[in-house]
Amino acid sequence: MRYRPARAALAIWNASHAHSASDRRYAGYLGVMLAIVFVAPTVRALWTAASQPDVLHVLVAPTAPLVGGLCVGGLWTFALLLGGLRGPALRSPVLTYALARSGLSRISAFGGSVMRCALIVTVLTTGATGFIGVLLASHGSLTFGAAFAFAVLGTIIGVIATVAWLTGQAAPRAAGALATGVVILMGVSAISPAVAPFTPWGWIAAFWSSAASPAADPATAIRWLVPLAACALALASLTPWLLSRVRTQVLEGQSARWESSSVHAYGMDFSSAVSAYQGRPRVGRRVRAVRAGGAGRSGIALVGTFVFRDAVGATRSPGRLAAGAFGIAAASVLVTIASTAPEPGVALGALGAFAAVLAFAGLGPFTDGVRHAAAVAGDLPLYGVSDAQLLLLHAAFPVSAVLVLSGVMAAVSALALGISPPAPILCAATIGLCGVLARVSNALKGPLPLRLLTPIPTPEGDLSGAVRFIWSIDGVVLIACVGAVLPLAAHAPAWCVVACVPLVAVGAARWSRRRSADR
Amino acid sequence: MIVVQDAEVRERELTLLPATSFEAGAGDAVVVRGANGAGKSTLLRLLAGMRSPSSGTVRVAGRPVDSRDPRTRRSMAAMIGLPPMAPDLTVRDHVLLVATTWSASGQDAERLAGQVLDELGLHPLATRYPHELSSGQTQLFGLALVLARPCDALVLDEPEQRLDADRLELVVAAVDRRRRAGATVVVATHSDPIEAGLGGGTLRLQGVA
Repeated sequence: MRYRPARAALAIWNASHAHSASDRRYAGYLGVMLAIVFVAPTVRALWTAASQPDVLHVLVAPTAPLVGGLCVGGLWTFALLLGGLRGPALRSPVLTYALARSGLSRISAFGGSVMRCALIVTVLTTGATGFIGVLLASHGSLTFGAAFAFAVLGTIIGVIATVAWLTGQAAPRAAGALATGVVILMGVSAISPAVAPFTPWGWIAAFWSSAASPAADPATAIRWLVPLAACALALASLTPWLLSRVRTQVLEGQSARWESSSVHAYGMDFSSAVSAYQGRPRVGRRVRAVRAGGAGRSGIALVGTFVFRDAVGATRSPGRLAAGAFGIAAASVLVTIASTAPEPGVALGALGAFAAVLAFAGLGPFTDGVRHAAAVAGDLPLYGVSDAQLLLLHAAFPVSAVLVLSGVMAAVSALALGISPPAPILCAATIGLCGVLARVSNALKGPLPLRLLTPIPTPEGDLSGAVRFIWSIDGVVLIACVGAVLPLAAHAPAWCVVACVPLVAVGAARWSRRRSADR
Repeated sequence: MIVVQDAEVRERELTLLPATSFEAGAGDAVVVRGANGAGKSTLLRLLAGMRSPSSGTVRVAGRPVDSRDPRTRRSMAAMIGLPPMAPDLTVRDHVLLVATTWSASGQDAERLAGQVLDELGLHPLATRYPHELSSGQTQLFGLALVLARPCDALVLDEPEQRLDADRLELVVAAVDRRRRAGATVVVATHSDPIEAGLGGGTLRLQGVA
């Protein structure tokens, strides 16, 4: 029998990390319980929600195939970009070091990892399209044969997505250019239907249009799957070549980053887990962020110095800043829509909560200075101003940015919707300010307090894990509460105050304990 | 300037710093030496106001040390571990920002920042971001941030970490310049060149084995 060094090395690694039979049984038990307690109810809830006439109407609308095709194009674009951060060829740092720097071919060393990712992606995409197909078939909009074809379409989409993902890992720069090209082509095909038949998302749209009719001929619909399947096969055959192009530094860097991020996430330190993937500034180094000029220590001059410093600092990661600004702008539009509610309701509350979380996420690139001020406040004095002054100086930039961005977007969207702008502007600005407050509170959070490691025994089990989870995402939870209530200020002003109190209280408590180890 | 009288730090039944006393006036240098765990960093934490002694007293400029007191903040510059570094500022930006918050005018800040970058040989790295520095360069950058502010007392914990011999000479010269300008310098170190370069008295901590 032929000796395969990569397989032997992986066997040694797997043997050293083998789980006992009881561990495997427990993992199986957890898997079954997860399926019963979480997966099955979620699928059922999705099915029930998707079976509503409004949703079915959207799925069989004439524009649905085009939108569906463009969504798939978006998925492939995302996969291309994701590969540069975390590709499918990924093993543990030790294995990556040993295998990537050996004489083994990439396909023998990392092929298994790519296959595993391909399987996961394909199962997910097949499940998603199969779900849509079966849903439409069960309501008479599709034959069950066509529903099966929908599932096959999902498999093809998954294969292409995996190859796009690997392309991003093998050639990040080329993948970026390719992603831009795909986005432009998607825009062109959305505007000009004549272009669509020459694009993969156009074939998907054509398949959907042909299949989504009870009287449709399945053969006509399946005809559109042929070029897609041919594409998928051709791309899949490139996998060994793409894998051989992945650089050792990329493999090692991605492996180390993923390991670090996983450790943080496992410890429920989600901020650190995400920051492992945060882009570092590389541009604008020649632009001076600090221009002392004739400023000195006077109050107003320092405010100007810090606002300018934070603004230039933010522009040094332009992509991140643009994404953040987009998030705040989108949140303002959603808040405007939510504030038009004639009366309080769950759906509009959820919309407001989502908008607030979006604003909170968008504020990330605007609050680097706030995080630095919080770090300095917990350390030895470095600047010639007090901790509180430093925090306020660094808060000036995100506060002014969020007021301008959310105010303008709320005003524009209010005028577009034909409603009076003052209320939406006030609402969006308040949510923005609360978002800054939540960011400050998050920055002052510090490490997990030891007291949260204490078990909380209950008849349902130990609840300390749930408490630690809530602690780790408390910024998101608190801002979501504010967002859910604030757009309904006209109906229930007292609740708005109640929703803001925990956010302020948590921030104040963390500030007062900023120098203590157990925050 | 600095008066430490029978200062002791205990953590339950552990003694982190045995009773220690010393005095240092303006322009004096005290080099603190001792084996790992002898209490060098703990002593510096007392001086910087990061913790209080379990018994005894620590006074700087005649006052108990409290890092929240503006007078203490003004008089005491300390580096115990690396200071927090803003990831979005270049070396020059960051040193200038620190100097700006301490200086009476922008010109003073520019002059001070330029002087510190010169002293530590950081000008060639002025436009680099913190993540683009080597570990030794990061140590120098941390020292530059602390030296970019005026002080009456300078407290440094093992400033020699990760530095080559040439950079170490630059650091010794920069610290000694501040001592000669009137600052009280307390440095915990394992480095003979630092002890020889700064002169002054040496405080040997024995620890509690």
